Amino acid sequence: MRQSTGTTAVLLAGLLFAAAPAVQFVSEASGPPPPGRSENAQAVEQRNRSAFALILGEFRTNLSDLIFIKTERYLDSGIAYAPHIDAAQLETSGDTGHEGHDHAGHDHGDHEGHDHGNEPAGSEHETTASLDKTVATAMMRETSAIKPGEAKIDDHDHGFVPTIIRTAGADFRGFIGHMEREVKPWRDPNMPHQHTAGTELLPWYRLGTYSDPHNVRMYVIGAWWLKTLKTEKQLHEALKFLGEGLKHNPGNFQILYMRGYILRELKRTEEAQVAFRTSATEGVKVRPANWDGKDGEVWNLHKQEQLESAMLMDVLFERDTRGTTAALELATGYTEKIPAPSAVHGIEDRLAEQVYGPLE
Amino acid sequence: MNVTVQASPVVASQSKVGLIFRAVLLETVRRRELHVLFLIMGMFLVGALVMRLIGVENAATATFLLNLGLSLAVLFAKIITLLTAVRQFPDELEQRTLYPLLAKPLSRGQYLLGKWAAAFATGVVTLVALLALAWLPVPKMESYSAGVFVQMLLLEIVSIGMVAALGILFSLLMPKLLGTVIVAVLVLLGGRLVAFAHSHTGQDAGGAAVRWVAGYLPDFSRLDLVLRYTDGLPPLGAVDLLARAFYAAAFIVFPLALSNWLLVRRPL
Repeated sequence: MRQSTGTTAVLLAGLLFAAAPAVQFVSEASGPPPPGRSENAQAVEQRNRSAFALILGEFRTNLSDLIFIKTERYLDSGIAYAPHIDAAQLETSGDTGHEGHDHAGHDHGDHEGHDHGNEPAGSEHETTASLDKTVATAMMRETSAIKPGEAKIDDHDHGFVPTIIRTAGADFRGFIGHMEREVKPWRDPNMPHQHTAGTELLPWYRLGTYSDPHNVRMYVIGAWWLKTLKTEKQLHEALKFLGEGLKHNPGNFQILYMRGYILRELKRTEEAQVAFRTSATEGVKVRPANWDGKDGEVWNLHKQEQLESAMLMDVLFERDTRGTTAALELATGYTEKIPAPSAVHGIEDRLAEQVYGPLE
Repeated sequence: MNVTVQASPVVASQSKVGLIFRAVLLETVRRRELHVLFLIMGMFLVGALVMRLIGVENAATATFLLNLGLSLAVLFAKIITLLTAVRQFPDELEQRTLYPLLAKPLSRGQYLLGKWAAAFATGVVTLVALLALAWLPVPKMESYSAGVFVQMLLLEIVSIGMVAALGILFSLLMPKLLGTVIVAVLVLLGGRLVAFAHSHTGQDAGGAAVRWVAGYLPDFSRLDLVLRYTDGLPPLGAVDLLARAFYAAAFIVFPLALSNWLLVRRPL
């Protein structure tokens, strides 16, 4: 009797347990949680610079911050420099970037007047440089040409950035400090940084997306690094990676933007234009109408640049396929949605000059 | 005239379970791992008080401290629960104290329930104490929802019940150390494994089937609202909350029922 009671209890409990996976569909129906304070780039920078963060070293509230520290270390040959991640550049990768971000003067690849000799506006070189700047930092662009296994000395002046492991002169630990400098990757902070190939970061980005499929920047930057390998196979891998990102983050304008970029590299221009147009449409939906130009939880300068770049690329493709008048009409529609000055306003003015003649 | 008063069967049953419960609690309080974890939490408390004295630089740092403290409290409470639950049966079997216990008028189900209740209560008390140590000293420089805090506490309590139930089940199936490691991996990485399975499945019927099966892996991240609390997000809807509580109940009731079934059939 006791045994049959136990069996009955297991069977009833088993029925309850069998229904447990239904909960994930309830959670999926309510959608992913809205972006919180922990994802605000300015908040990330502030906590990374705090004394507590320095004491704890690599300990962070989430895996994505940890992976970005790892990526920074990879680009610096494994050497741990003190946190110096700038808010605006945290969206992409760590860099000793400038403080603050002047939107009005920021270089979008300078569609308005950058000197490329006789290159026409919106040329392949100009737009590639512009697209690169909206996704990758200067360090990423420099290291993209380094092959795995190679190292390059960075001759740019990034200012003095101390290492986490102290120099001999500032280390009270004696032989223990000396051992740590010998055993762990370390370089005198007064010497130029040594960079290694960023493509070795790819497994970390893959890991980042496994642990958090809603981490959009991992998808975007991982796809960018795949693009730098410049083979058709890797471009298709990048498309597949972005496809997975879109599956978990439907309609995300940043992933769509990067997808347009990759399709453009593959010379699939029609699909690229569709991707840029969808990116622009979705980006406008997400962008707060009364955005004050400051980095916030929902919108920041990098996203603004990417949105403007997606609009710009759509206008340029429209010009190449349907002519200047159609492109001007599209550009005018976009400029009504974002404030001046922007690259889109610049291209609108140039297109207007071509259609109506120069302004007197 | 002698009058004999006999307790009702329900009360007698409850007192048997209560005896097991009390014995486990007393034993747990004396164990070193509990003292070590409280010591570590004490260090966090000291650090947070020092930061408060010096002055926290900005709201983001204060929120980070709060998140860190709450995460540590939740993790340590689960560790204590796991270590308490997973050693109950193997230790008693090894020390031969199980036989005299089961020789008494105590069913194996009552024995199991007592052990689970004690591990659960240990975890809950530890959780409440550590949450207080984590929450109180940190300055609140941003707004946080009291509703989310209550939901967080409730879901963490049921997740501790899950840890206790799984610990007991695995202790019956395999050696103590292996059971501890496996449950610890499930607690820490169960959510990641489920996310991994989701990211590699399509929207077709096959993909849905894989996602359903992956749902049988315990996903403790569903019951973790610490980040939601420190992110200042609003409370969960009633349906979502109840669904998560149901999820935890399924992972408590089934392992306990299965453990009872295994223990009844196990030759001692």
